[in-house]
Amino acid sequence: MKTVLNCNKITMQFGGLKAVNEFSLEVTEHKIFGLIGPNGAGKTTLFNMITGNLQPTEGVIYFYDKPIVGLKPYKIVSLGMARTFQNIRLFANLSVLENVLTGFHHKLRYGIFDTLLRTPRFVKNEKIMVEMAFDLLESVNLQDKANAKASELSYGDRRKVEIARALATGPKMLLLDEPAAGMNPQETLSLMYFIEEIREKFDLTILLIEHDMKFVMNLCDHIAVLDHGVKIAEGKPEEVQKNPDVIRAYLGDINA
Amino acid sequence: MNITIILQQLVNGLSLGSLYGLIAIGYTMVYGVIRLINFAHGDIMMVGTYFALFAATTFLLPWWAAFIVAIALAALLGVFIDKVAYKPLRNASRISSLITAIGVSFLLENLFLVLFGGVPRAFKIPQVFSGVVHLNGVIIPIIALITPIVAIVCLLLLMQILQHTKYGIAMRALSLDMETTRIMGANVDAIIAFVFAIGSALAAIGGIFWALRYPSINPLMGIMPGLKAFAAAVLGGIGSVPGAALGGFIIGITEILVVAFLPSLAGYKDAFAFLLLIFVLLFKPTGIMGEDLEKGRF
Repeated sequence: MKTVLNCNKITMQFGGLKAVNEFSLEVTEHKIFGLIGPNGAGKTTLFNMITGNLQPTEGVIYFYDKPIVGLKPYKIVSLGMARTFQNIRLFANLSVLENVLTGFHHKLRYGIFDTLLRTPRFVKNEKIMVEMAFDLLESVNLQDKANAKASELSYGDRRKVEIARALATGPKMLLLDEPAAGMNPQETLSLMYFIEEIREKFDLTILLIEHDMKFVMNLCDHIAVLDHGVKIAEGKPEEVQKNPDVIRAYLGDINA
Repeated sequence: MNITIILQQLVNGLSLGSLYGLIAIGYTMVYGVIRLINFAHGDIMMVGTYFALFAATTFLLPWWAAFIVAIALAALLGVFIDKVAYKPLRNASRISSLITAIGVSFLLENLFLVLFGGVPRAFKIPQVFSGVVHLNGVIIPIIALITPIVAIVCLLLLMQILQHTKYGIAMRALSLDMETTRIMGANVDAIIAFVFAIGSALAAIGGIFWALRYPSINPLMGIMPGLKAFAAAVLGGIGSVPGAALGGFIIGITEILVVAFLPSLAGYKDAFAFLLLIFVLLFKPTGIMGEDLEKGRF
């Protein structure tokens, strides 16, 4: 099994606070990997380090054996890493189609002069881009809403557009930050099938943060638990579930 | 008052308005992406005009080549100013960048005063732009006819870029949420540089046509048109490109009509642009076509 993402003892220090402390993780190809932990455990900070929004104070991160610490976010995206956000961050005033199109940005090969002169290369590229965006919208079942403003969509649909937009960047690895947050059980269930589906269809490795335990236990192949910036457990869902440290982190020490 | 005079004044106003519009687009685009009122914008217009002058007189280029060179150099200057003065302050408070912009404005004005003196220089008008056309008794200078056409062509090209290309979509995305645009794989710094290049190129075009209309240029010539173009951008709705063009036309036409029909108030003509601005903002704080950009994300 090939290692896609390898975090080696990464630490993120904000002033006197260590948000993440010597965290190590290896994610293997084509797996769905879950990252759980109480609020404020450092999960989103970890995502921000992996995508280049934050620079770890210490440690190294490899993506397909290439060190990515210090690279700008757009470089990391072009290596094949995409993410969604905990609080959905679509471009509200742009249409659904345009939101997805932003994801193609780094893959398009035409210059400013092609744009001004409308060269054949530009026209061809543009056509392909729109077709691909429609394909993606079709795979999330939103092709009918392509021209609606993103702000007009329902919550569940916004999540799907955000995932479609992330897929548009052509990722090998997808980071999902609480994809099921704010969803009802019905929506959560269909999201679970949807994530399975895109993993197969786009051959993805997935790392996700989630609080919904049923969702995590059923979907993930492997789970890591983070508490106060430290990894306290890792393993298959059923192993993690029984781990006394994990129970203590979530419920507090019963004997205390 | 007859129809000929009214028509005459309208053409005049359209021509002046398109100059304000061209300059206003730069204000509105830069504000859209980084929320900065680039007070040096009017001075970039001035510098662009000087570039054109020197290209034509010192380097003896034919007028069209001189204009192209000047526009390209102004675009580079805009990118350079962003890189040196604004980019280091990207994460600082807005007021810091604003003060820096005022500083850059003073720097350019005084640098050119020191280098080239305060005495106005004559801008040589190429033969093509100097004639007049008679149309049913209305006398229209050719330049007054060409200016709005140039402005509208620039506007249409720009709208094409904004609506249908990856750069345009990235610019609009950037104006809503810079962090997310970065994560979508767009090189945000390059996009911002591109915005400065477009804005500054349009300012130079505005400056050159300004000089063809009032062919005497000096290092402080950018101040008043810059302020009025800023008023135009806010009037039209800052952040909106068609709004900036519309605001420019409104302010240009108002100014000309005031001078034409209320000659006793002609001395106050500059005040009317700002009065109009205050009046519109009282009723629509986001300007005519503006949207509240802070509500653009969720």
